[in-house]
Amino acid sequence: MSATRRKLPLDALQWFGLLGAPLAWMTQFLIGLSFQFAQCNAAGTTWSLPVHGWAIAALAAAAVIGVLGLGAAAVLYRTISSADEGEIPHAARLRFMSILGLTISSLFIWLILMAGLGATFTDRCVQS
Amino acid sequence: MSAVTRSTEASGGAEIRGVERNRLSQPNGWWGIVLLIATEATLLLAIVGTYYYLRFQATQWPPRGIAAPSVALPLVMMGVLLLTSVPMQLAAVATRAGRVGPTRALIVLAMLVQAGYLAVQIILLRNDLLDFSPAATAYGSIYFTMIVAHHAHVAIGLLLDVGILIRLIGGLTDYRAVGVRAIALYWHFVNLMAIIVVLTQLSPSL
Amino acid sequence: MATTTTTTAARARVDRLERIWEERPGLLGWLTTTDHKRIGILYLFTSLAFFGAGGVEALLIRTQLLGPDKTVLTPQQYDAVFTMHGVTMIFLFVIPISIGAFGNYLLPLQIGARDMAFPRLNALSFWMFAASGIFIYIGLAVGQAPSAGWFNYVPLASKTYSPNLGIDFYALGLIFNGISSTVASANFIVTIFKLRAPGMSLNRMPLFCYAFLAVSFALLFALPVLSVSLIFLELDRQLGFHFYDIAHGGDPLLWQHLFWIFGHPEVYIIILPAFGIATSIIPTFVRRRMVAFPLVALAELLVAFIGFGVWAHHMFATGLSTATTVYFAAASLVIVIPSGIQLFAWIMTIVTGTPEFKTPLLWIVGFIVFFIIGGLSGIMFAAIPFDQQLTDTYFVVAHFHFVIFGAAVFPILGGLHYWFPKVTGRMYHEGLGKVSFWLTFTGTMVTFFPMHILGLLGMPRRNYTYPRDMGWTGFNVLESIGSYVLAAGLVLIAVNLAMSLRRGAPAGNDPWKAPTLEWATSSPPPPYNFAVIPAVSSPYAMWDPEDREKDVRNLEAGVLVLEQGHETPTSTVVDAEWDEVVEMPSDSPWPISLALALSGMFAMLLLAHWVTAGVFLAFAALVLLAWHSKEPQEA
Repeated sequence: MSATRRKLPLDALQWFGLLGAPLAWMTQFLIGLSFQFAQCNAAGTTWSLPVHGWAIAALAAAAVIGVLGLGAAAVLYRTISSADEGEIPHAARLRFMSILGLTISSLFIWLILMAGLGATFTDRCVQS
Repeated sequence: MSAVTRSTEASGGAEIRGVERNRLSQPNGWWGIVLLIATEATLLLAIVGTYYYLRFQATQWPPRGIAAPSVALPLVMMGVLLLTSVPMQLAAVATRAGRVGPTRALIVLAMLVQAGYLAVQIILLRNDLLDFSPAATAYGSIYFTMIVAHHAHVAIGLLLDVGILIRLIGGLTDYRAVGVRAIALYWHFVNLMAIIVVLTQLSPSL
Repeated sequence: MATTTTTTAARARVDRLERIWEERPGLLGWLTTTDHKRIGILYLFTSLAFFGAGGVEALLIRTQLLGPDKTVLTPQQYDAVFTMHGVTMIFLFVIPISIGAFGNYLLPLQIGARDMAFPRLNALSFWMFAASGIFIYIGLAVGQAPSAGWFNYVPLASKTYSPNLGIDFYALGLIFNGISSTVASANFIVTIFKLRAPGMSLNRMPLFCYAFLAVSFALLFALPVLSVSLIFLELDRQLGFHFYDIAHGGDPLLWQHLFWIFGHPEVYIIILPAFGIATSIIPTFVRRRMVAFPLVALAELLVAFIGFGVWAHHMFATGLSTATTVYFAAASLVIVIPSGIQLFAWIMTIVTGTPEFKTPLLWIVGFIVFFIIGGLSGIMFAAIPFDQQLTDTYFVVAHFHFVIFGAAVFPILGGLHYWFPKVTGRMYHEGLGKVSFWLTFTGTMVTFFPMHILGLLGMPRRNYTYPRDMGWTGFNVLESIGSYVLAAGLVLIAVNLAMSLRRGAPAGNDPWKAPTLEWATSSPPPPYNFAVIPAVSSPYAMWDPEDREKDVRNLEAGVLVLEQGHETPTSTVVDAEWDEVVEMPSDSPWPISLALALSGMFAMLLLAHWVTAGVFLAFAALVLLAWHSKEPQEA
């Protein structure tokens, strides 16, 4: 069991757990807004962009990465918690980062869903 | 305690190599230039973003009376500038190996090409200004501001090249070695931004 | 120095440090200093001077609004006064005092370092800040102050509708100010990453440092967008470009987008240092560690990050499509969660600790009250329909004064009391401290709370007067009286601290028995901060007696004393493993010279003397060359 643990790339799990979900949200945000700006202005009369399609795709992709980030943080947390004292170097720091990752990923999954579902279910270029 | 490097005292090839070998993390100057790049990239991306924002406000882009940009020469120039990343990176590698001669030569080579690039760009800029004015349309305003902003960063890079070459006259210290690495990183950033800026500039014709 | 020098070897080492780190005396010493503590003091007094100016502007506003149809100020003067009030308070007071004064002075001490990573750059950021403030106030002095509000919307700020130089003073002054803050933030990040005492891994870094890490990243990414918006504005105004001009393909909303992409992170930049100060003061005065330490650290970073995704909530009433604004509404709602995490942690720490309500803790409790109310009014704005009704009313003015004054400035005032002993070596007068708190708290509440009601009653902001028969007079009178009470409270603080500077009781190293490392050294600290770089194994270093004993042994053995030169250790970013020893530069004339050269350049740009501006820029380049010709170990 501990042999398998030692093979896990703990630093990679740490960084993905911390940064995966926020960067996914940022990408979803930029994609969604870019399409909104491109379609809902004067230039929108000259083309018809798949705004909703992209909003849904961005929502799905971001949500998946967010969940993976949460998973990475969870795996890291469990690995550190079940390891023996001194078995893993920098365990305290890794545990700290895994707690941050669990929190950050949960929050951003929620934000990704709120923003994505909101954009999907509102009319494209109308101010209500 | 004596095993920990006093890097600012290192000078000459062997000591520099020793410092580089013992270092566990990037030096302060490296972090400094990375952060400068982050802030300058944000500045240039805000300008590029404005280009697209204004483009989305228009039904015709460029506006009537202004020709779409020609593609060939700007792309060639961009390619030439991108190539200078090679000697700059090689200079950074040479400086980490403590070899001041090749460092200087590579920077001079890159600098000559970069200076030539800037000179041609200034001529092209002047030609564009004869065709249309930044004070006539929003297209002109953002077009010229965007490319001049990039050229300004190229000019700053040239000044950095000159500055480090002057410092390297006195030989290599770790401070100057970090300087070379920092300037090489800066040029990679300028060159990456060249791709973004030039493709944006040419976007009506692509 | 705190650690007792019991052996001759230890004493000899300290003597060597004293000699090597000796500061140049007199005025020249202050003009050329690169010591983060001296730079912090320079920032402190300069920003307090601007606080005074901004306060006078505030009292002028409240006096003008004391009754309907008053003529204390003409409409044009009123516009200039509220603009200068906003610009001064945000750019020339709250940011410089938080980051330049508190951040600069305390950060190296809290991480166990001897200075910031780039000491000369630190000095440069101060001199540029001071120059930018003077630059903007010269506009006021020559009767050409900006008058389009602190967020300066076009087309009002365009040349057509603001033909005089006021907006140019604003634009160029803020670009200059922005360069100062940008270099400061890069300095902070490298310092936090690389100069932490060996052993201070990221999970052992004090929460104050997390707040400043977050603030620095936010500044780094927000300020360039402001600079772009201001450069576009100046190009439109001076060279006739058309970024914001709809007739030629531009868009006034472009200004709003660019400004608020900067402006919203800016308001989190304003509050984050206050969070850092609060999280420093609470554990000290309740004698327990912060509840949920990792989550509080994270919350500070999250507020800064999510803050970049909310900007268009300042634009809900501009006609953007709902599908666009929904992205911003979602982020604006979610951003309350990290703030909530911190509030929970602070309150639970106070409740489960043994609080001693000395003046600093009183200020933090006041901060919590204002932050809860201000945060709630803020979150109400995240609901788009609500925002569309209340935009540009006094409800907004109430909200942001609660969060800026109540929530950002109160911890600053608390921090002034908390760290007064450390910086001056003397205690302030506790009784006066408490009275000044209650006076200020009452004044703030009475001034700003009724503004919520006025906003709901429809009173618009930025109007130089109001009609007699709207039912607004009573509230306005109350608010103006409140502002005079508030001013009295602030004056009393100044009196207390000024008096205590001369007559306060000696403080000693650690009068509060506080947990962070600045309390390990003398009050005030010596130029080299610590005789021995402290041993660290938790974020509450001063509450780890074994580590403090280790310091004494290290000093005697000469470990981590680094007295061979002007030295400090650098360590790895995540785990703070000891990496190198670097030399710090000492006094230098180049930072102030560069600031002067750039001042000349900005003055020439204001006056549209392009060639002369270019000459100053060339001069600046030469100064930079001279600066770099002296490497840190030679400087």
